[in-house]
Amino acid sequence: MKNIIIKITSIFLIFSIIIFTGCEDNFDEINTNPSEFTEVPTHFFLPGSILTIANAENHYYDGYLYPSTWIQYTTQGQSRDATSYNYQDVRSRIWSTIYQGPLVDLDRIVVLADQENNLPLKAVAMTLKAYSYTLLVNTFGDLPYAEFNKVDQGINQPIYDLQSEIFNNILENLREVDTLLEGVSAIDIPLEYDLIYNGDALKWRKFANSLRFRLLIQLSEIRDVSSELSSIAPVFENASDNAMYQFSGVNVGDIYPPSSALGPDATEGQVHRMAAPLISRMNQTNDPRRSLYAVANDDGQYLGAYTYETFGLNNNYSKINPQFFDRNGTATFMDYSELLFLKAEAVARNLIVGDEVDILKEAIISHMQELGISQSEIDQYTNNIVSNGTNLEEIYTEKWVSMFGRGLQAWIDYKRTEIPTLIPNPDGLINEIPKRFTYPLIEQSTNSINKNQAIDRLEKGDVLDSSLIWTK
Amino acid sequence: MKLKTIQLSTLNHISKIKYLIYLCVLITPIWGYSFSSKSINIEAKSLNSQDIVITGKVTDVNGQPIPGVNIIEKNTSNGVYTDFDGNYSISVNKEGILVFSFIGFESQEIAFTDSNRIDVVLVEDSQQLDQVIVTALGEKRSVKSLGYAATNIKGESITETAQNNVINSLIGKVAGLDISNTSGGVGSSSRIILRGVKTIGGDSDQPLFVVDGVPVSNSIRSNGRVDYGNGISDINPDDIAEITVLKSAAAAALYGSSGANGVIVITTKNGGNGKNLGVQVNSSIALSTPLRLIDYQNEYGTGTVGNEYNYFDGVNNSAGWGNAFGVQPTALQWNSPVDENGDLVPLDYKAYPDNGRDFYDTGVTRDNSISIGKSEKDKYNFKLSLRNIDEKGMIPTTRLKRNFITFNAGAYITKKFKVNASLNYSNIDSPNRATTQNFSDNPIKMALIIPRHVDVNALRNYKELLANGVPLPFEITGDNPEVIAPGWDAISGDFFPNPFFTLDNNKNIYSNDRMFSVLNLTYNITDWLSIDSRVSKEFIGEKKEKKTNEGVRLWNGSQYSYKGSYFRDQYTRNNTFANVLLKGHNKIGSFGIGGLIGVETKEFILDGSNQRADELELPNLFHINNAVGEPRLNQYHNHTKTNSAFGQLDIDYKKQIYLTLTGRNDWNSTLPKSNRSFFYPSASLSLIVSDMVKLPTAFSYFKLRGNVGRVGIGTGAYQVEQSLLALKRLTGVFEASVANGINNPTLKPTRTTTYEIGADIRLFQSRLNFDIAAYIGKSEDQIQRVQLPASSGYSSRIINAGDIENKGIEIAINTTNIEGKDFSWESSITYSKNINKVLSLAPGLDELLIASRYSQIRSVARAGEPYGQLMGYGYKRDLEGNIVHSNGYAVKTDEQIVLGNVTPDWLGGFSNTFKYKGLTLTAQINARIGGDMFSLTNQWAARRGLSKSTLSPNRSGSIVADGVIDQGNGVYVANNVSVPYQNYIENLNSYGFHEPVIYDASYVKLRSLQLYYTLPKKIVNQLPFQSIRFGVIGSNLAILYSKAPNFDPEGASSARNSDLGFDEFNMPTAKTYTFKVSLNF
Repeated sequence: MKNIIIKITSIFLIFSIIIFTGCEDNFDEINTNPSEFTEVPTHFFLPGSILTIANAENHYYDGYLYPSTWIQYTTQGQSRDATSYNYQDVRSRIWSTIYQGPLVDLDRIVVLADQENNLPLKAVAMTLKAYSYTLLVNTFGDLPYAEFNKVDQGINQPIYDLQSEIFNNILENLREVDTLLEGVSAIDIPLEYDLIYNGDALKWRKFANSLRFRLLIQLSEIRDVSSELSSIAPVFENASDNAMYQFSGVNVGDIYPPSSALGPDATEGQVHRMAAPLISRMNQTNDPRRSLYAVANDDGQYLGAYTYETFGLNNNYSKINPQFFDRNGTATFMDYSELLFLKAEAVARNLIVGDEVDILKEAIISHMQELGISQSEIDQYTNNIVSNGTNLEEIYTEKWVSMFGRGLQAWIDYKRTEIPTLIPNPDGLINEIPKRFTYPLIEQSTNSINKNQAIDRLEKGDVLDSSLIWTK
Repeated sequence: MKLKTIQLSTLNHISKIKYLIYLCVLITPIWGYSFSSKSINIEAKSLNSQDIVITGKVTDVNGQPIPGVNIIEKNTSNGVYTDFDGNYSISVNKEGILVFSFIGFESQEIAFTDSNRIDVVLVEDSQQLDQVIVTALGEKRSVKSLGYAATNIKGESITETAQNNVINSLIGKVAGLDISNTSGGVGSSSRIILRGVKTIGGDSDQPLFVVDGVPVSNSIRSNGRVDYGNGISDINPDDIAEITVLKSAAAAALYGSSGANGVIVITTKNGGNGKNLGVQVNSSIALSTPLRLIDYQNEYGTGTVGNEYNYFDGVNNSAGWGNAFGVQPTALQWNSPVDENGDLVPLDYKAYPDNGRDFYDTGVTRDNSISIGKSEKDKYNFKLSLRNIDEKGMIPTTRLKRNFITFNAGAYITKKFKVNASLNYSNIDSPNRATTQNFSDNPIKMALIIPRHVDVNALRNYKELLANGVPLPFEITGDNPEVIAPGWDAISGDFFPNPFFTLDNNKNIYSNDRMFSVLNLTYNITDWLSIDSRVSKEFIGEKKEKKTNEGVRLWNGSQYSYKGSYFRDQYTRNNTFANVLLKGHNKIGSFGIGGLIGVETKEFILDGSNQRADELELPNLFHINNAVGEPRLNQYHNHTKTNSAFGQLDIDYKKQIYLTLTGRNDWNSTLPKSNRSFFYPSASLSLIVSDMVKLPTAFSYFKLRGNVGRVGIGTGAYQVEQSLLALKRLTGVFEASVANGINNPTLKPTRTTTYEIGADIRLFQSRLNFDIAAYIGKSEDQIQRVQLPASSGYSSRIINAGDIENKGIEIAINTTNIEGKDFSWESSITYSKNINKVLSLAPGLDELLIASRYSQIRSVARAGEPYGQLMGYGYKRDLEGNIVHSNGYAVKTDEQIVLGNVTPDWLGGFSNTFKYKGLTLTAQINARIGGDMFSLTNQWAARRGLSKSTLSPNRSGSIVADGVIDQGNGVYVANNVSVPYQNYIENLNSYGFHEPVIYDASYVKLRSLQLYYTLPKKIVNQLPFQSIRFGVIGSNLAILYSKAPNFDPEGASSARNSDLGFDEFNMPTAKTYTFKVSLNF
């Protein structure tokens, strides 16, 4: 008996030692996450990038609330943080969403597509990268660019580059896109992965060129851009070239972002109402888009509120038309109508040649057609507007009216033109309509030295009313 | 020989049971018995002719009986224990020696010849004064030999506090152990930190829990939204024989990495109190009410100053700034009935002073347990226990049901070979738990802003009112059938639903099944060498669900939705532990030499998935395929393994000097190949000074101890190789993206080193005892996930960086103030102070974020400062410290500044136990002094004019606040601008202004009052019981001192480090009265 037990114990001991120690050969396997992928087809990175950019630009706070309120499309009756220029960076997502999402993924497409010699796909990624950077540089100013996505090279705290250099680089990339896509008809990926153009390379080329046109106009007060403007081709030729993505309205992440606060599900917490400047203008011109933008009040009138007014639910101002903020709304990156407004401006400022009245008219027509306005109403409106010829102020104002719903880009345009004249909220925390977003607080604790250098270059510091190089 | 025959027919029912129990419990060892259907025969066992029976009683010098004394016939395995009254009975050979031994007393050997009664008086061993406790690896060691601080708590004092969560019974009892019972919610978690926070980020500094030599998980289950408790609450307090808290790294060196934060060693009972068949039944009922709620004002109604309340007008609907009650005797209200014309009928407009408290139910906890056990020394032992706890929470609809089954059995296969096995099963089921923090469905938040004129009991009966046609206060746009509370919140611009409606229609459901089994084999090779091996398996299956009915407004991540939603998450956790130890001890002259070598393996596998339907197609059908659009699916894993080899060497000289050396090598799967294997040592020394030199007679015992230890620590799974992509499938295509976190292929283990010295001093026959410890510990090369600026393209990277230091002192004083025949009084005091300092962070990093909450209040770690600095916007002040005002309002700082710290300065406990005959009264106070908290609860209540603090003679008028005005040229003049009082208070309590609601979190609490009564033996003897005990226990009874108004500073939304320092509508802690009966058969 005793011997048996000793034997059993010895075997047990030896067995245990064999199992327990000496072997760490499967440790690498143990420490590999079975749920994570390491390699996927390159085009898998594309749809998420597009969707994220669409979400970031139309984000409820960054894309709608702050810019739309600041340029007085709408106003808040309650919780007036946007109306009073009390920008809360905690709500701001555009910085981190763009930087940590599409820019990294698009970088990867650029590298992989290059290796795979899929240059058209590389060009698509470069276009979207350029577009993403414009969203950031136009809203914040100087920011990391050259040292972005270089953590693998030991750069954990990227320096902030000058806006002018970032613009140079973006423009250079867009020129390269134009070359890469020259003569290409299709992007070689499964078509459904291109959420914008279904793989149509020519349309991507037009988008990149139109975007370049937009940026050159933006910089036209500080640079000589006319020769390049005249040579850009092809650009958008009709509304079928529009760069846009329609949200499915069903799946999370694929819903038009402001719809919850402004669309059919809105609960009116902040009592969003149409602002007086836009409604007054549309009343004046009897704009047929008015009933699409706004809802008539109980008296059947369209009435906008002034930014200095506070009011509760019990008011008589026009609501925002919830249909305009439907869950399956559209994210417009850039459209034909916007390009025409830019062209009209370029003509009016003698940067290119053309007939500014015709172009302006065409811009309005294109916009109204997209909204489904009847031809007779369109004709009536356009004839009225352009009957007395036109001027820059009229072009800018018409553009402002047409950009409703595209708050971020409309605000960027406004910062450059400051037309129409809008009176800042006299009770606001600053005395001007904001010109930029402030840098996210998180940069202070993670990248303070570089951030502070950038702040030193701002005229008033890291505040909403510091000018950017191209703002008025 | 037949002694007695009892005719069953002559007995009543109770007596039958009584005799049966007597037979089983008492007579078995000595007497045989037999049953027939009609009678019970009791007869003496057939004894060997040379056997005799010796009986007797063992008492101490005061004549008090000593139960549990071990009596062995020398050089045999024949032995018994004394019973509760000190009596024993043993059958022995005709001649021999009986050895009487009991811990703390000197052993006695008494030779016997034919005599059949031996009464013994045992003398306390004042020289030895030793206690045996269970330390590392289930090893029993005498406290004398320990070179480190170890606090031992007996099972009774754990069960006597009647806490559902075992760990709460230790509050204030162990110096250096910081435990906070976070809330009175069902199954709420408890935060446990031993000797200060040791990791800069994350929650990996929880001490290791070891049950019967095997580590068990104590994972914090909070997901940041709902507090699902922590793992240790799955242990049945009734099963615990003792808990030993080992505080230093030296104590923990043999536990490996996970012991770096200290070890809490739990030893469970192994059956029948080491006596005969014992049946114990415990039954208790506990009633809980909120300890501290908001102190509301009851003088002013809804509206804004100067504007009468009109409930249809959102503008003037601020909760508490309206007219004084009485000005407007009646008003239209949300529950106004409709008259025959279809108009609303005004109702009395008055305050409901108790409507804060009326929201809560009285929590009721029913706790019933039974255990049966028996053991015979060197033969077998078993114990079976069952326990059921049914908790109905203070928050309506919340509930938690728990069941425990424990079976533990051991047997000596041969004299040298013992097998012990235990099987524990626990099951937790919760049909609803409340959402915490600043989430829209936190019922505390909803209840907080209910205006003073609303009868909460009417809100509670909303279904009835709806059925009676009472209209809803607001028509919400769209078809949202939500029942909302009156008090649409003009300040936050948000609707607040009726909390009762939300609780009924939005449930956080939780279930957890845990199986924990241990097999323990011991083989004594010789009398000085043995092999000990344990294999254990812990299997946990957990499921969390969130079911939101149609009509509840819920933010689903990108939208507010009313269509209902369904979320489920389930995982299994599969933990394996095994070790083999070779232990030995021997004497060589004056030296004792002992030690062990061993190998061990630990493996944790977690495998989970979750599914989310953000909106439901068919209402209230909770199936993942009922999602509108595609459900969101996710799966996750965690797999780590550690293999170890270790050894310990114990040397003592004349049992006066003890030296212990340990060494351990780990192979840890979470680290890269080159750093996977690491070694760490410890050394500890214990000097029994009182045995070495002649001390004044006042000293009964004087021990000095010291140790140094180091522990290496790995990290979590999957942090080495770069995980490239997160993949999801959304709009019919695959979406891949680069992972936001950067991993690190060169990680090395974190090292924690601690030094400790201490003394154990006992004076005046051990009636005044001091245990003192001082320590310094440092954790270096912490494995941290440090934040990256988003502009780098990533959110974080894992690195080895950052050092954190904790140093402190601990004092425990135990006194026996009065010790008489019938009356005794004992006191204990604990004090501990820990000073924490973050020595450095990663290069280039100014601060590491621990938590960032609503309105950007943050807790951070900053180099050179203590862990957990509260950062936020404070008052702007001039050089003299006056608050700068602008236009009459206080101005906040431009930048965030340090406003406080979330960790306490010192902890204290003071406990007194009085015994008089069968009565035992214990009163315990504990203090946690220092530390600060940010209170969103206060901010919201003040901003809405609801808290009593907003009452002021100026309330309806204006205020010129104390402070200065900046002239702009560096000159400050006194503030002279008058502003409306309401606006002034609103500004102080506005979004992003933090200092006005930062409070000192110090508190002193009456932690518990316990009164137990043990029925006298002579009464019990009339009943079929061995003992009967009644108890009335009050827990968390009162806050004796606190500077923080309207909330309990002990509270938190969960046990996570990132929840420390924030009162965000925290659930109130509970004041609990428990009535308990314990029956022993």
